Amino acid sequence: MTNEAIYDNVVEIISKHARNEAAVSAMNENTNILNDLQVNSARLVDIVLDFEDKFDLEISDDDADKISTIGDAVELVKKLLH
Amino acid sequence: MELALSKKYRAALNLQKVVSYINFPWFGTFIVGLLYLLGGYRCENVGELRSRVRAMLDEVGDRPLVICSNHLTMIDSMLISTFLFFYGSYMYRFRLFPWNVPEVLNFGKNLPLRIMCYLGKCVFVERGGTLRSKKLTWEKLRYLVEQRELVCIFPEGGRSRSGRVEPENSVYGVGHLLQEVGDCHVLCVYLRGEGQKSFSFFPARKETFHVDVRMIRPRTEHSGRRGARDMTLQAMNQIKDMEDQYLAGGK
Repeated sequence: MTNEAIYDNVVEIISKHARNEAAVSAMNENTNILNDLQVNSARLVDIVLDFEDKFDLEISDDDADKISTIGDAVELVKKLLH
Repeated sequence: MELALSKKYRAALNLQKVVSYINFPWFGTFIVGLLYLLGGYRCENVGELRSRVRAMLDEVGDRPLVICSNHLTMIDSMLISTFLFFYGSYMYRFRLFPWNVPEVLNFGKNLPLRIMCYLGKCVFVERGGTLRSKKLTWEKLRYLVEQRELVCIFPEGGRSRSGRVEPENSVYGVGHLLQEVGDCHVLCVYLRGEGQKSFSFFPARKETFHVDVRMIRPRTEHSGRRGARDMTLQAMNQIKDMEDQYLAGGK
């Protein structure tokens, strides 16, 4: 999977759970998932599970806890895929 | 299994239980008096409800048990404690007087409220708090459930803003708790005042409540986060189903 495809899929998954629609349209790698997109911690669990399903990988609790921005999520998925 | 909760916190919870028990004769009467006399709250078919709950508890026996309920008002946990069991019966089965998990900003803001929460077997949770504080709360709850204390949890985390049960908005802490405790049953409770259209601070005065209950033993083939979500949703889907049945009845 290309880096661009990973980014697009990550953004698509996170967008589904974001409450702040204005921030969704302006999303970039530095967007903070909890603060900027107003995703609560329970929905972050859903996002991580969606990553696992979409990319067919397993994400440890420690890795999941490190996800703070879109960029973190993309980098983590890239790392686990390659 | 090794207990994660330190001796200090275990001792504090045990002390709280004893202090709460000693004060229950006046405190329980005071709370029930407030609900019945000041609030004028009633539960439809309360005798039948209590018989059903007793039969369910008999089946569960000495296995761990958690109450999961929908959440529409700030006094839901008091109503659940008052409706599910005759309050006098708590004097000889005090473990069934449920522990509650109120938000510290709402219920811990002044001394009278704190005292009330202490006597009412509450463990505070800090919404938006640090991972450490949330973990401590869940460790306390796990300890209590393992001690066969009854704990009442609202899996939606807060009062439902839509006024309806929303499984998709659940938080999965209760699922983690069920995974950790093992062989844990869940008494799913659906509570709604007949005139309750949406969420509110208090129910309307003289409200009559519909209460339905189901006992489940959530199981999952998954572990970790996925298992926690699966188990939480099993409980939430039961509560949602009770709501659907109630609303389909033209309420």
